[in-house]
This record gives sequence, C-alpha cells and structure tokens, in this order.
Amino acid sequence: MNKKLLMLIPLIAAISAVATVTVFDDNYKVEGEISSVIIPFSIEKASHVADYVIVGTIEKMTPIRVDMPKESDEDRVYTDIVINVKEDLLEQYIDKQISVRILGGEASNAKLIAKQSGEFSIGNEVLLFISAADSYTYGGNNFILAQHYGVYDIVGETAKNQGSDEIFNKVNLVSQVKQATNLQ
Amino acid sequence: MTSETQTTSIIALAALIVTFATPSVFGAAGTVESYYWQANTDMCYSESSLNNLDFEDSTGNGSDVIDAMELSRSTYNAEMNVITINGHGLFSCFVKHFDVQSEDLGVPGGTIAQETSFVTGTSMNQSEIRFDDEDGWGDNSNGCTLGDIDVEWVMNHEMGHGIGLIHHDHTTPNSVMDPNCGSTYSTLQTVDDTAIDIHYQ
Repeated sequence: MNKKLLMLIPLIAAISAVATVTVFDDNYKVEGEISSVIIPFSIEKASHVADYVIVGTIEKMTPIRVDMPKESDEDRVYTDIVINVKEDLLEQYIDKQISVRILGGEASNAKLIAKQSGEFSIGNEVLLFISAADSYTYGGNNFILAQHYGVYDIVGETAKNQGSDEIFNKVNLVSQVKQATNLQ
Repeated sequence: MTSETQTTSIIALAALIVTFATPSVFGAAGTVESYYWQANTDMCYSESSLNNLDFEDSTGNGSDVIDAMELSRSTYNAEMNVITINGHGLFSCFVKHFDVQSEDLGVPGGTIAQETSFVTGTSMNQSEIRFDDEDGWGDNSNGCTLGDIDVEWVMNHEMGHGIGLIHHDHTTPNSVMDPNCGSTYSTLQTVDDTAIDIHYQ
C-alpha cells in the first residue's frame, strides 16, 4: 500500500475519535427521576426572599432538554412555564407574562421526573413565589422558590400549597404576603 | 514491506481498534447496567468540592461529610447483600448551589439536597447526590435546624433514593425515607430494611 496513504490512516482515525467525542448525541436516551430535600420557607420569609409573587394563569408549557452528556452534573430536562400575569403582590413585575423554569419534563428522547417541582395545567390559576434568574440555578431562568412549596393552586377563594397541601383563604394569603413586605 | 512501513501499519491498525472499541464519552444509547454495589469502590468523585460545604460552621471539613457517606454506604452495604459495583459512576456527589438568593439574604433553606436517578428500564445507570453548599450542615442535630442540618439523615435518605427507595408518606411505621427533613429517624428503620429486602434478596 502506498506509504503516504498508510500514514494518513492514523490521522483519519484520530479525527474520527475526536468527532465522536464532541458531537452531541441527541439520540442518547436518558430517563431519570429527581428527589429533593426541601426546607420550606414560611410565607413571611418566602415573601422577603422572592423577587415576585405572581398570581396568574398557566398559558403554556414547553419541555426542553439541556445539554445531556453522560457524565456531567448538568444533565437535565426542564419545562418552561409561561404565566399570564394578573398581579405581582410585590408590585415589582410589570409585564403581562412571565416565564419560569422547573425541573422535569420529556423532550428529545429524554425524560426526567421531578414530582417536587409541582404540577401545572394550562388554564389553571396559581400563585407562585418566584426568584429571578441568576447564574447558578436553572440556567439563568426564573425559578420557583422551594419548588412545590412555592406553588399555590387557586380555586375560587382557596389557595392550596402543593408542597404541604395546606389550604389557605386566598384573601388571607394575599394579605400575609403584603403585610410581610409592608405593602398593606 | 520495510520496517518503517510495518510500524506505520501497526500504528494505523491500533488507532482503528481504539477508535471503534472505545465507547463514546456520551455512552452507547440503551446501555443497560444492572446496579450492584462494591464495598471498595469510591462512593463519590468530585469529593474535593465537599470541602466547600459549611459543616459545623466552617468549611474544609469535607472529610466529615465523607465519613457520613461511608457510614451510610456501609449500612446499605450490609442490607443489600452487596455483590459488586460497576466502577465509580454509581454514585456521584457534588456540591451545588440551590436557592442562591435566599442565602444571599441570610435566609437559608429551600432545596438543600437532591438525588437524581438515571435509569434504563428498571435498571439504574447512575445516581447523583448534591448538597447545597450554603445551608449549614452538622452531624448531631438529628433534624433540619438550619445551620446544623443532619448530614447523616440526608445522606441515608438520599442514598435510599439512589438504590430505588421512594418516599414513605405514612405516619407509621417510621422510615428514613420520610420526606420531611427533620425526621427523628436518621438511620434505616425496619420498614426500610423490609423494602430493601424486596429489591435485593
């Protein structure tokens, strides 16, 4: 065999190996489940820590798979939830919609179950304690404080905390938040 | 064939063998690894990051956390009739920021630890356990007092998830898999042993 061709073979092999390593394999199937230990905040503390306390209705939910190489601590599937904003009890948020990212979802041949992220349905009314985007958590997206402990399902005049199943009168809950932040 | 040509051919052949024999870093899709546990395999890599944990009001005490891990592993070891672990990838432990803003405001809490189980069918490929590095860990509170969160309880609880146990939501009997931090039962209880026996015997 031609000597020059023989010398090219190792080079071709090396290039192939590098290509195998660096090309993201979207066909890599991943399934997982996340369990969290959460210390819930009191309503008062949550009101101080949160950037927004949004009352609104679920408009849209979009799962997203985020960079899932096999041996990384960032292999995750998230769901981005868009809420139509009725009110921010902290009087900070002024846009008509807000997006939050929660752990869990199914997308691109990957499925991650995260029951403690909360359960959401399009059209449902919720009250959410939201932390604004930061560089550490949820890839720079808004997220819900203390996961499902920061989610209240609003049905009529009641607000039920998803984490504790505790039921509040909606007016009383709103009042507690506003009093905690001296907005009432 | 000259010796130089022979050498080149051998190198080329070796490169080809390495290329096609070595699994992709991202793993062959659908690889099933039944999970066993090997007593002498490192429980966690990235152990050095544990030195960043606030443990007993100081950092640099990652060895104390690792001791809790070792104790927990030994406990589960004994309960699971351990056979072997496939490398170090079964459990990986990291330090992670959760709910950063709350800590910045001096209000620790929120998510303090998290376990992720990666599975294929009914077999687990890997378990990741993460600890928040700002919430303040300790070793004797038997509870979830902020600044002194019982690392033994959390470790036993999270490793329970790592081997397939789910939350035990009943008020009785007592279980280390009680989902509420601060449970009195920081070690494996009878109901936990029973559940492990179902899986592993």
